[in-house]
Amino acid sequence: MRRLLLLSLVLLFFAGCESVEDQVFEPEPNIFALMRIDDTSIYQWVTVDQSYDIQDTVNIWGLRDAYVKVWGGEDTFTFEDSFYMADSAKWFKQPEGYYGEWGNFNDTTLYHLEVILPWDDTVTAEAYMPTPIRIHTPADSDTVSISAEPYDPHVVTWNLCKNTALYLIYCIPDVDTSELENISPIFSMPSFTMDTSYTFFLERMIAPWIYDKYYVLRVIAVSPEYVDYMGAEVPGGSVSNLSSGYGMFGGIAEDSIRVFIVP
Amino acid sequence: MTLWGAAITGSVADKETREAIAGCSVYLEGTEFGTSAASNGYYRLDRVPRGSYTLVFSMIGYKEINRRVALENEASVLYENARLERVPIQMPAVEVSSRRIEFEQEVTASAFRIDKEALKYTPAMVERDLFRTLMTLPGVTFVSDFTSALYVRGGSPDQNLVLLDNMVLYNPFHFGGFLSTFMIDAVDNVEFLTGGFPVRYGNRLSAVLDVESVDPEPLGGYLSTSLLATEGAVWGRLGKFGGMLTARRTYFDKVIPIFMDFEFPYYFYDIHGVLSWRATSKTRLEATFFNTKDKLDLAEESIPIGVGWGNQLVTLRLIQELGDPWIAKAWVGWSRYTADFSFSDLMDAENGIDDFSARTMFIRTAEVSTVELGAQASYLKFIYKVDAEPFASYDIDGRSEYGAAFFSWKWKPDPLFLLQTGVRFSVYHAFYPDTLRDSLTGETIGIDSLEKTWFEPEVRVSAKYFVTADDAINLSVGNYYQNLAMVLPEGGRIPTNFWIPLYARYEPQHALQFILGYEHLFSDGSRVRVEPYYKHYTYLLAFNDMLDIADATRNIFSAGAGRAYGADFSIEKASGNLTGWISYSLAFSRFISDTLEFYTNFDRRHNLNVLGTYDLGKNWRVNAQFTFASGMPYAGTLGRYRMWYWNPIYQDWYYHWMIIEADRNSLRFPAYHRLDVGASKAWEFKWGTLTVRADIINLYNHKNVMLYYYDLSNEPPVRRSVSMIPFFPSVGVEVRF
Repeated sequence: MRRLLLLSLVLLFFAGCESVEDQVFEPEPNIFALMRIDDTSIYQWVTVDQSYDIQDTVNIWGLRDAYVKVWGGEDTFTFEDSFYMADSAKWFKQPEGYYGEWGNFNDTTLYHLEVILPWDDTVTAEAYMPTPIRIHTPADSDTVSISAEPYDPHVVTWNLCKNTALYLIYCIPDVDTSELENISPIFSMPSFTMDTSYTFFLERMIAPWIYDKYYVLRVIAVSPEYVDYMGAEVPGGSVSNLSSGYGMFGGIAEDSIRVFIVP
Repeated sequence: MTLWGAAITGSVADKETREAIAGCSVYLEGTEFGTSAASNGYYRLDRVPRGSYTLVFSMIGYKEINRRVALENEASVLYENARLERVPIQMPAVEVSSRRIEFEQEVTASAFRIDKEALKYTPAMVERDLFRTLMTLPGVTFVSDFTSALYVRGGSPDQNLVLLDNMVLYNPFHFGGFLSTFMIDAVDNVEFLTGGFPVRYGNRLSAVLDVESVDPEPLGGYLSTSLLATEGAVWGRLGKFGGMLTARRTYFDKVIPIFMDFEFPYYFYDIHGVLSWRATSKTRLEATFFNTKDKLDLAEESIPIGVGWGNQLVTLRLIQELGDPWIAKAWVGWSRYTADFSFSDLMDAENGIDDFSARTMFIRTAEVSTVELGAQASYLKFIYKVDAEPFASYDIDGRSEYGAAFFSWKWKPDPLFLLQTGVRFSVYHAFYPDTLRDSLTGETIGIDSLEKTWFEPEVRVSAKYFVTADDAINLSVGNYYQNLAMVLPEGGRIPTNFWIPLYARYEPQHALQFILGYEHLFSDGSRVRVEPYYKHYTYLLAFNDMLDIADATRNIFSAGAGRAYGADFSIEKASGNLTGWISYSLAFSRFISDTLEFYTNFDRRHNLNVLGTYDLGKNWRVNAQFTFASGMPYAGTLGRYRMWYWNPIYQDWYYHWMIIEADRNSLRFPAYHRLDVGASKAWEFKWGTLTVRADIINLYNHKNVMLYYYDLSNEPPVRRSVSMIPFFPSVGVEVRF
């Protein structure tokens, strides 16, 4: 019996020595390819990056030596590593991982993203782009009265955009960029709708509004991929439409006007 | 028929009340033959050579009986019943070994009877505590110094049935985990079953802690104070009536404002009272009153937080001797648990259970078999309400009924074999009106009544085979149901518990237990145990970490399966100047569902406890406790990535760092270890005893990690840790009269 006891203790010892390793961090690609849509060609950016160990010092902005391509229909856009801008002074460097190319996208073509990483893994995604957006009312430099809004609730209107999950509406004091930092964060919070018009000004009355000023009214059409990525659909989360890793491939279209707002 | 000699058997009972005297020492003077009476008073001495002996019945608080007996031949069986008379004097505190009776009468080795004396002399963080001692037993693990919650053999704390006088206590802990709600002098007959528990216990999957209130003794009392609380008790007995009242309260909230301009925001109190009436020589009636309350109120802070909880319990117990060999017991009682949590104006949570229960049990004790028949009926009203507008508001408010009947049979046909088997049949019915709300406006649009009844058959079998007079192997198999669960976020570090009886969104939890054990008993009552076990959870609920609070009633738990397995080892030294035990547990605990599989947050692979008390003489005692526990899993941060976005205001690209969480419980803290030491000296006076104690917790000040967090204000983020109890000396004084 004592031998049996000894044997069982030995077995216990070996059973307990089963190692349970901590999960180890493994880097994954992080690609952000948000195309900006307008009627004309815009210089587009794609950032190619990776995830990092939480305790690592991150002194680079992204990954160089990647191959970035977007194509669809008859169009193919090959993005160049912008670390040394070809048309910049040699001493000026962009951050690592920025890839740029002129591009103009339409709302009927399914576009494909392909990124070949420096370690030869390939990340792909596909998305339709939003229709370019144009604000119909109010007109640029119009004077808008907040108190009149209840009688004319759809002050801000725009065209219907395809491939759009959400419209974001910003009302930004028309001041110098450096002054924006001193203005209440309430102005950086967008309103949103899925309609092509918005009852906008009345709700802004809760904000510390500064009347008799010029504001920039900006409306953005956001593709579904970017909405998911920003976590609008998943509380506290972010959804990627890439084949692996973090990030997204999608598009936004935006338009803005300058209005004078009175009480 | 005995195989190796004659036998002496019989029962031991109180002369006045006729109630069985569990633990009564029965031995043959001048020999090594001895045992202790079982919980039903039955005893048996086997393998006694023929001859003449003095049979001794000895028990603290009773007058010893010496009786001459003669065994004519080695096949004879002598029947000797004893009725012991209470004596109104304080007997010297001697060690009454109940090891032999546990060894010979308990089928499963997973049972522990806690000696009150041992409780008094284990090192303690400012106060002695029952749960802190239980945490040192094999099969039991813990998650931090700041909670006394017991994790038994891979089961979460809500899988433990905690009974006080046969009524359920839902949260027997105080804030910070230093103390449970039990005051040591108010309890008696503490039985802790870490697995394979018999069918008289139900509605839990893992373990049972069965605590009985003390039977009031002749006039006495004590007053003790420590750094944390002051505790006092009085008890007495007058004729057929006895009573005891014990109370404890922290005093910082009252004392500190006298000397400082500071409102201490926390207090707790415990009140435990017992009334006893020995109506006739065959009838005894007892009433228990139990009330505890914790309150933490940080209303004056910049972020107001309020936490409170309490237990109230009233129970009435009847013990009726129906005529040899039948005894009837009946309980009726009410147990209430309430808890609330508020966080500024953002969140209010409220939990409450009202448990009205009645139980009855009939016991027939005979030489070779003991039969238990019983039934239970419970009615529970419950509420779990969270108001965190506009983000979430839910209200789980309903009722449930639970009824059970059981039959248990313990059979010992010969000294080599012991069998205990039983069946339990339970019916559980839950009703919960689910309020349906419009997802946009939040307005009530209807009521969806969730009503369901479950039938739960349970079968449990335990067997023990005595290889030699001092060695035995045992086997235990059984299935177990549980109809309520605790909202216990991973880590289990919330100060209070939120209980929810299961409703029709979920199924009752169910587990199968398999236990194989070996036990060796030494002649002085010391023993060695090895007990491998396997627990298979066929249906298990875990708090849903990804809870969608907008629809909490449907997804507050994740349903899955699980398994817990391992082995417990213990060696106890029960006599001599040095007493104590070494316990080691190897444990694995996994939760498995269709979508996730992870080690539970209490999956400690190794747990080692070494406890010792040394009696130096002249009322000096020193003690020490060393604990080693391997790292506990946690859900932590693994990495980060830049989340880029277009800023329409500044018309530029920006990013913020997003945290990458590791898989659930895929990281582990460093190993935990701690050494506590203590010493006590007692002075005896004519009026009573004065005892002074001193303890040092975490003697070498090891920084045991409770949690990690990342300071994101640094670049890169710096991992910081919060440690558990550091080096901490404490003193206490007790006056006992």
